[in-house]
Amino acid sequence: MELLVIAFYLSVLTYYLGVLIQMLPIPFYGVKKWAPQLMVDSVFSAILVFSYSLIQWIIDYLGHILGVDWNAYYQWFFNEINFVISTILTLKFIGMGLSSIGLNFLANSLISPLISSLTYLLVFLITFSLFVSIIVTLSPTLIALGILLHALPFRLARSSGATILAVVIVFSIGAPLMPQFIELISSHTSLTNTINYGYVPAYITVYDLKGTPLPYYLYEIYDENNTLLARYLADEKGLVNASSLFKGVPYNRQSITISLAGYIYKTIYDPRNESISKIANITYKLDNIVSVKTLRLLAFFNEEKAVYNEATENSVSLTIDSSQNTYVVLIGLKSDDLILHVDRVQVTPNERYEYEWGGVEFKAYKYYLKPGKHIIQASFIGSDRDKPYFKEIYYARDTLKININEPLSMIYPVAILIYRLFIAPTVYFSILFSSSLALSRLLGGSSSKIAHVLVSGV
Amino acid sequence: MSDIISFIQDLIVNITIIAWIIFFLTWVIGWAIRGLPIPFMRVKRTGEKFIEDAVWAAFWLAMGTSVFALIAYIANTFYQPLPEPPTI
Repeated sequence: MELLVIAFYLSVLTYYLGVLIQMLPIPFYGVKKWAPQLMVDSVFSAILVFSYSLIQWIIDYLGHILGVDWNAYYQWFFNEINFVISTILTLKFIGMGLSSIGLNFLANSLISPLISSLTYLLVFLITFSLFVSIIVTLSPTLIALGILLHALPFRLARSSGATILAVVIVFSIGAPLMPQFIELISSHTSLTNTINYGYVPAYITVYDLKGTPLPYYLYEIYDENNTLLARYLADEKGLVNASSLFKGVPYNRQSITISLAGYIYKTIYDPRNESISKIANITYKLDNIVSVKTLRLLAFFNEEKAVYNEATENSVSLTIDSSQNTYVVLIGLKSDDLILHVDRVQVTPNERYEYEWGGVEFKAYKYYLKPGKHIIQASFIGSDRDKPYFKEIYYARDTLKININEPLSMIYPVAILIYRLFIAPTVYFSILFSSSLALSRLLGGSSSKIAHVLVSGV
Repeated sequence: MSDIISFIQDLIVNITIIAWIIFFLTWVIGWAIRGLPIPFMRVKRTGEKFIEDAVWAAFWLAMGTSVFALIAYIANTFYQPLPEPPTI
């Protein structure tokens, strides 16, 4: 390290300057008092130069004792950033929802300031973290620079050198402990985690093999802990309109369960992978189901290839190809007659079930098919019409608890974020900074006056 | 960087040379003042102080190299391979 070599020679220079001043044949005490001071300073600086490795070791040692974990710190940081971003997006979509129902003034007066505060918060958080990571990445250089400044003759930059040293030491040890501090002082604030999932309005459509929308399916959204976040029932045309302000879907990775009269399909959906300008268009194509008419289905399993041939009002014909045993399930209303032809021969069901789904009574026939290529034709004879009923759970209204009559429901999460990510880090930053100044005084740095001004601003 | 180092090194050498010259000068001036045929003790004591300072400074000047060698030795002795921090 050349900086350290320079620092060493500077301290030697300081020493000889001290000696020279002591030798001067002048009777002025004011000049001569510098002599012992310069010699002592130079010895101290030289000790610091040779303690370079020791200082780094002390940082590591104390950090290890206090449980410093930079990976955990960065993990925490990215989680919080994501949290703020998803809250901003949630507010954005809520604002758009308010505008669409003519409540522009509410979007402008309530949502815009909240988004602005969160943006400032984001800038603060990123700047803080950038400062910390710069200090940590450059800590070897900064320590050497601090020692160099400390060693300049006549105490020219002794305080700044000591402050740099102290800041590097204190922040390298203290900064990664910030998440623990924040947890400690904000543990009593109850922020529901649901806001973390974000919010986006959406249209959801589910198609069957032949590309027809499935009517009356139940669309359920779960989080990764299997907690139900939303439940929507599709209309007769097969559309879930979750585009209104109080509905929507989470803007996060979510587990989806689509069920229809006992048939269940599960998948994972993540809207963050798609570019959504205003409303998300979520579509699924279920390749092992064909809807014949409302609430009448043909489902097939274990097949390798299924080709849709033709359909009439009451029947559908498919070609199924498989090298292993497959089975076909016909689902219809209890009053229907369900008939299946395999290779133009009517077959009897292997298993029969009767059950209720959403207040509607169904029956299902299960048929086993041998491996090979089969042409199957399913007929559903019956003209009863019915409609399932389920209690829907609106994502924004019921899970996020967003209520435009209570602005607090939107302000409170933002206030908690500001407390956790601005006030708590600022307090922690002040603690670290005042410790740095105290340490810098120990190392021969700034006076208490400067410390007072820097900490209190007065 | 190496320019700065050699500059500082030159400065140190020059200062050492000047310091030795000033030592002799101070020593001479000190004795001259001390030996003045005047009855003012304060002036004579100043000469004495000059000689004293110059001798001490000359001692530290001569010891300079040893002082920094000692610091390096002590600092390196302290920075031995240290034990691993305890895990809590």
